[in-house]
Amino acid sequence: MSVNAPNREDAARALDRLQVTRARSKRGRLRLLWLLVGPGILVMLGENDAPSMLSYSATGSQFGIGFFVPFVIVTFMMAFVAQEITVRLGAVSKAGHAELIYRRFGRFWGNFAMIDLLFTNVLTLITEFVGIVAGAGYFGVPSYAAVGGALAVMAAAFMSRRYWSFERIALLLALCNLVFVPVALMAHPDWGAVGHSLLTWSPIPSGFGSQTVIILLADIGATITPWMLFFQQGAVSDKGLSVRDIPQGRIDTAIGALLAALAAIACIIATAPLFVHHMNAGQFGAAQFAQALVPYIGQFGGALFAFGILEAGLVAAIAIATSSAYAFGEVTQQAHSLNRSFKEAKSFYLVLMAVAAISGSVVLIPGFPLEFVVLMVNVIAVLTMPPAIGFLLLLVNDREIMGDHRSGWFLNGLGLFVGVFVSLAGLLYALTVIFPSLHV
Amino acid sequence: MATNQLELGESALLGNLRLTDVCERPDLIEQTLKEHRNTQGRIQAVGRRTLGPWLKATIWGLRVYVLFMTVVVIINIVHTV
Repeated sequence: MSVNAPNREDAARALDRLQVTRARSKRGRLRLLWLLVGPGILVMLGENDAPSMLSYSATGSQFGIGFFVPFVIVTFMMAFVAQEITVRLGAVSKAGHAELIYRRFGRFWGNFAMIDLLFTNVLTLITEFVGIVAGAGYFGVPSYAAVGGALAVMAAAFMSRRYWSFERIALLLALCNLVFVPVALMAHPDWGAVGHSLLTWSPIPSGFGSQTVIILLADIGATITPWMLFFQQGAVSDKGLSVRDIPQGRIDTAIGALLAALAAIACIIATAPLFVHHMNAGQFGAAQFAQALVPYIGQFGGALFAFGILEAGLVAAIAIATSSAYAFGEVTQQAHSLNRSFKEAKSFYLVLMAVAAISGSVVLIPGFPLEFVVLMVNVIAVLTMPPAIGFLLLLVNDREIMGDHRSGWFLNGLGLFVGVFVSLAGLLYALTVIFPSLHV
Repeated sequence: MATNQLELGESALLGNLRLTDVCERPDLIEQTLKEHRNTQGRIQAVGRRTLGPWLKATIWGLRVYVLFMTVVVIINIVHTV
């Protein structure tokens, strides 16, 4: 890029960096944090998407307050371990995840990673629109209007022409995920049971049959998925975080994990009355959960729950479509930044909106097995995770890319633990499918 | 920090800069994004890494895992439907 011909992307990023430098020079820690937070909170709350909230609802309604409450906290700790690596990779390399995989491992392995990403992204995006339609349906909004409205909100966020503006709009929407906290309070939970479950991890579900394992896997898939790695590294790079900003990037990710865990636990607690009153919620969709909860949390609570599912779908649709477009731009070496105008990055924005529009259209097809896709999408996300963690660990230990910012033995140990845990959870699932009578 | 201030110019650090102002200061953009540009140049010079037999086996193992799990998911779908 010639000094005489700065493009808009460079100018926007330079402006953001100048503000960061100014905050740092004035020792304005809160201002600095405010400027640098975003990708971590967005990715974590974005992952609390429609199928994730439905998984937590299924967990609460089928198992009540018990083992899964502390388990969800552990899954978010594991998500933090994986996402922290993307902060360092993005800040040190200023490159996206797909770009680094292609660069270091070649097209053969890069294509595999992209197939995993696009397959899970399209499936997940469809389920986000299922959540949007179901949530809007609770308020009497027709399906086509819900899909159209969601696409319009997404377009408005993407067309802000500044990564910063996009991030703040998406963050504002993402914080609505915390709507599940008041819903949980309306359910008048037994706080003694909540405290007991956190301390003792009990009651434990009796017999880990295939249904329990699917819920277990769905809850893991509700916190750790491939698109998160691609999105956060792309966002860190697009935001222009530098090596000096890594501590704030970590705080950002930790805040995101904390808020997302809070919303997830709130969702389990909110739906626990269905377990207490022995309601069979195994095949419930979003709207049915909201309806079924009305006797326990009131009309307003039911409406808040439905709004929460709608919002979860919308934020995740924004984040997942962005992760697909980042990866596409990185692999095809086309302009891929939210700091660019539509004219400057046509393919980036077209991929963004095309992926969203196609997924939204699928939801409108009569007879499409939506509930089944919702059930399986988090499971599939977990099953594609081990290679993604493998590449993540290889990249973060790559001396040529990371230099002194490679992971030490402790961080590598944690990363390996996450990879092994996810792989074993997948194998447990395989065992229960191949041997349906198996109870662990 | 003082060096940074000098490098970027007092006006850039103390004044209220807007995007249009920055667009008119290509020198400021270049200075500010120097680290970004250097890193991008460094990364673009990095080529493919050599995959040893153990590394190849690990990556293939993870790929076989995904293929196996895909079959398992299909079995599950067939059983459920």
